[in-house]
Amino acid sequence: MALDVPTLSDQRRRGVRRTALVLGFIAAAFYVGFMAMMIWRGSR
Amino acid sequence: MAYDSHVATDHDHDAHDHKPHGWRRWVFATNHKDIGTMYLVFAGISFFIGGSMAMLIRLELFSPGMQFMDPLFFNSMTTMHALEMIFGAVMPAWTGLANWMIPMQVGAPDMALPRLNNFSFWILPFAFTLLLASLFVPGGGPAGGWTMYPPLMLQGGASFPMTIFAIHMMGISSILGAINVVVTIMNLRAPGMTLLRMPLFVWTWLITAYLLIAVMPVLAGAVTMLLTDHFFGTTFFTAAGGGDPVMYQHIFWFFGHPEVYILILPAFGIVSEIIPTFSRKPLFGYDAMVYATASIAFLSFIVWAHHMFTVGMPLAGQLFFMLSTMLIAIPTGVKVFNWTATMYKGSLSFEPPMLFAVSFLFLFTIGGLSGLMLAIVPADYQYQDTYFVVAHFHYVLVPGAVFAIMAGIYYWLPKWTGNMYNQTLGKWHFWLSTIFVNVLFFPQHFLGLAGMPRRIPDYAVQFTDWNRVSSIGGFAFGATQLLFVYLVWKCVHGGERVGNRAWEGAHGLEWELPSPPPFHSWTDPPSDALINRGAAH
Repeated sequence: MALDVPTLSDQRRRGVRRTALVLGFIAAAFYVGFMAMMIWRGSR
Repeated sequence: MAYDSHVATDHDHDAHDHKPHGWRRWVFATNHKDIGTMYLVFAGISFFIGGSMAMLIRLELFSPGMQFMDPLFFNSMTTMHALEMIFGAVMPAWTGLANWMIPMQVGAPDMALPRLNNFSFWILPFAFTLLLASLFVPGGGPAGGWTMYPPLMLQGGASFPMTIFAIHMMGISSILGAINVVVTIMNLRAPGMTLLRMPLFVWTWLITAYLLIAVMPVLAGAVTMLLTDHFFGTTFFTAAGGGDPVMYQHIFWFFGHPEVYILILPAFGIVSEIIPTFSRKPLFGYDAMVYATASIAFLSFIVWAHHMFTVGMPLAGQLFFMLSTMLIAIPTGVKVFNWTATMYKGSLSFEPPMLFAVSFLFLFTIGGLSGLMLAIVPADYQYQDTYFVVAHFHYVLVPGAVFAIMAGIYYWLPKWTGNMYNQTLGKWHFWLSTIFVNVLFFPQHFLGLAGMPRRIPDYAVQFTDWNRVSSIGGFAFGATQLLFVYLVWKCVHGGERVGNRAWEGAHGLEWELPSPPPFHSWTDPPSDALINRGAAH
């Protein structure tokens, strides 16, 4: 899909990428980790 | 009422407004305003679907005895009404407002992650189609309540996995939306827009987004454990296999209580925008409002077990959860007093956004006070699972969250469309809504105190009178909302033109843009002078 948004400076683009990756990692770790931990504890 | 319309002509990029056209504009949307509109339309549709379910509930409860539906369907209606309204109406409405307003308020050209924004939205229609389709499968729709407590929820039919999958999809959509909000606020604020100069709506949304990222995975974990209990032989919540159904309640409410604040914190932000505008005064205690919001968010993580005092817990646990819950009254009180102090000696006018904001102030406080009553452990033993609880959370969510959403739409609709709506009709909508929301929910306090349990399709005859009053209020409140749809429709299609600043007392970067704003706004960051003028607190 065409990305119809104004362009950002490289510095801002790096900031966006860094924050998004950190938050994405935290959310994914919570999302998968919580379920994995519960299932692991429940299966012992 | 119109202010000067030349302030931001240097930011008016109409000449470069290359909007996509046709269905592609919406399906492949990456523009924050388009995605915001889609969220708001989606929320409106869900509001009417969930509202229709509420009408069926009130119809059945109009008289004692079984009238129109079997008990399983009634329970499906209470469950689906809640899921529709919470995940389908209120949360998407907040995300829609966030999409529209946050970039404009912080001086950003768009949301930071536009493709993710598109994905976050388009998950929702599929999730809710799946959820609604579960009403038509063998065994009927989910009927265990929105809390989905086992063992009742585990007894569901084919609708059970559909509901779980739908909830996962809604959760993923919310998390992705929240990440987008945080990244936008943290990275795309205009130079000079420091954190403590941000509008309160942006602040409350930032804190809400962190709450979402923290607790939606907990819900996902809880419902996945239900799924494995049902299909894969685990016994997390089955006593026969060494599990504990009460553990589900702890996990669920560890998500569920912060969820309550996810629904209400952006409302605090909107009211904090509207009251100063129509009081023609800066917000009283801006910093205190920010810290109070953060305090409420923190406290929301340590109060969850007040939802389950009656399951049996040690006295120390009851005391801890009772006292921590009561602590929330302090930052909430700070907010209520600050809004009141903002109005004090202000030059007040009562256009529709202000009417809804003031109504919010009174009626949300009623919901807050009944919440304090429910926090008292010995009293809660009487109130638990009665209509008193139903009255309490509906006061928080309807004249609380829903009125704030309406206030926000009434406030920013002229900005979005460039047209002023019919304010007389807006005032009619306000008065009818305010009167009938009280006719609908206030009697439910009496019913609850008299002992009427919630989630039942039948009741003892002594509860008839107040149930009838409540139902009449419900039908009238529902019908009144059609006025709102008509008003918005008319406004989108025409009306008196407004300038940049649709309300003379309005401050903030969004009011420096033309009305309607160009497809791409703030492609050049706003100047310090504009930011200073906006940050009037």
